[in-house]
Amino acid sequence: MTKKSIFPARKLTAGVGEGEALVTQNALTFWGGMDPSTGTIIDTQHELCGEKVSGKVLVFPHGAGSSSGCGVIMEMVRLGTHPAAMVNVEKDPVLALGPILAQELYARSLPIVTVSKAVFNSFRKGDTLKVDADQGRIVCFRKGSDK
Amino acid sequence: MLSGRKGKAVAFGMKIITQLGELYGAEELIPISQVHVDGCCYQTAGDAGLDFAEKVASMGAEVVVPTTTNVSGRDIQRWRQFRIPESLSEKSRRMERAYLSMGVIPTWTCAPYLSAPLPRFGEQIVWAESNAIAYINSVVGARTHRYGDYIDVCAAITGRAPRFGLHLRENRRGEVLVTLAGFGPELSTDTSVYGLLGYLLGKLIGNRIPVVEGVPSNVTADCLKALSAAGAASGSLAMFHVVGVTPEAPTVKQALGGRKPKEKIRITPRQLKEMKAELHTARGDRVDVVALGCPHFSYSEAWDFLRALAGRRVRKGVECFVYTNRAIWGDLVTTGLARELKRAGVRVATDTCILHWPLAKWGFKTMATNSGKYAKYAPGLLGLDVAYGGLLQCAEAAVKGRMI
Repeated sequence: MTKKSIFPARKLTAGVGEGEALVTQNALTFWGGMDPSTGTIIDTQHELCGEKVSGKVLVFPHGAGSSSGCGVIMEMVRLGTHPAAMVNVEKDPVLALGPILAQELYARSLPIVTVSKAVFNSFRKGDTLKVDADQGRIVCFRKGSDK
Repeated sequence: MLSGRKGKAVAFGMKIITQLGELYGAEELIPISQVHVDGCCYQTAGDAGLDFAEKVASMGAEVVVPTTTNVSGRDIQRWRQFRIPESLSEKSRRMERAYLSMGVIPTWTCAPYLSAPLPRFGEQIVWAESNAIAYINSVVGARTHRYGDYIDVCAAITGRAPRFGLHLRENRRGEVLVTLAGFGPELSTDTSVYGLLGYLLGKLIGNRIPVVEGVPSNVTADCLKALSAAGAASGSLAMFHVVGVTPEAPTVKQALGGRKPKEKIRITPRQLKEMKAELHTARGDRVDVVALGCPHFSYSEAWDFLRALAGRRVRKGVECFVYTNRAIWGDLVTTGLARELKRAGVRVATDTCILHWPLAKWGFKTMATNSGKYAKYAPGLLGLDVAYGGLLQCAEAAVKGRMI
């Protein structure tokens, strides 16, 4: 049985993306914490170190670290190793600029949305999320939910 | 400007700036007087960064305010000597050329606050490079938001920034009161303590603004530089207040803007010891490389380091690299310190970043550093083990090949 729920979200960057949710309560570092050539988290101090983010919906509270984060996102979009979408709690200019410029350079979108803390906490690893930044909503599909 | 009457590049810059401004609810743009451009290092974003620079340059972009540059991917003069591959050097050269064509001031440094042009207190600027943002907001009191790469370029070619965030006085007030307790005289001069403190603050505070009390008023600028770098690396620290030291924090009350702190945190040496255990990944005491200057070494750090070496030489089989910018290097040459560093066996690189040197590929295993920022990134980015210690310990490590 798959349970479908819809949550409100605010658009930061445009587009629609769908994929398996990769969820962390900890901030993510892109520059120095992510290998753009493989789309893998390489921050040894992060709980998701070693996880591949490509094609997934990356759910994390906010970015951290270097102001070069947006360049790493652009390079991921260029190489096609980028996540399908990103869901944050806090607006992060460093991250938002990556998809805005990637759109200009490579005509490909990577939607980022922000959600409330309560909505953020309702997502789990393994959920399939469809992030529609333009409509301002996230559709969550959860398999075998007994609740 | 948006209409394209001032050229394609200005229209492009305005489009991006306005889009970002709208996202953040800014209702207008403000004129800015200076820009520090990050993202001019090829390794930061690979071909995407180069695509951006060459696209903007090909539109005929020209900076309209003094614009300094962050690090390049290579030591521009000595890249062969430092074994930078020809292909990488060529990509770096293209990147440098694209930015030079826009009329930037080629400082190639992550520590633009160490040399001119330095903004004054209250000046509205656009700086990227996280450590520089935290330093210039906090220590000098010039005003920049936490900008990322490329938006800086758009600001440089338009001379405008969105009116929001840390450009506005009301958003610069402290939110969290941090009290240091139980520390000794090391709080005045040991940069590695501030690396740990910054690292811890970044984790605890995220992107809020801390008001730190308990720092002695004779604390060195190098310590505040270490705090800026580590806090901006482990978290999103873009601004901090140090009571009695930084210009917007003469008192706790003023730093908090007359409001109550949202949270109070007490930090003791024990907590910093725990942070050190997290950053210090080396198991034994052997060290085969010492790397200093993250952010770029200041003149006073070079002076301190030479005093710590006290005429001794770097041990055979150990490399000691110091990274700085050409302005500081020029001062070191003029005053004779460059010769002393060379005599001690210290190798100095300019224009570039410690984090882009493939030290593990060159056979190095364990690196001694006093930088919280470098210690955070080195294991993941470079595959190195880190021995974390103060400048004095790093000098001993360079001479003895051991970090004690």
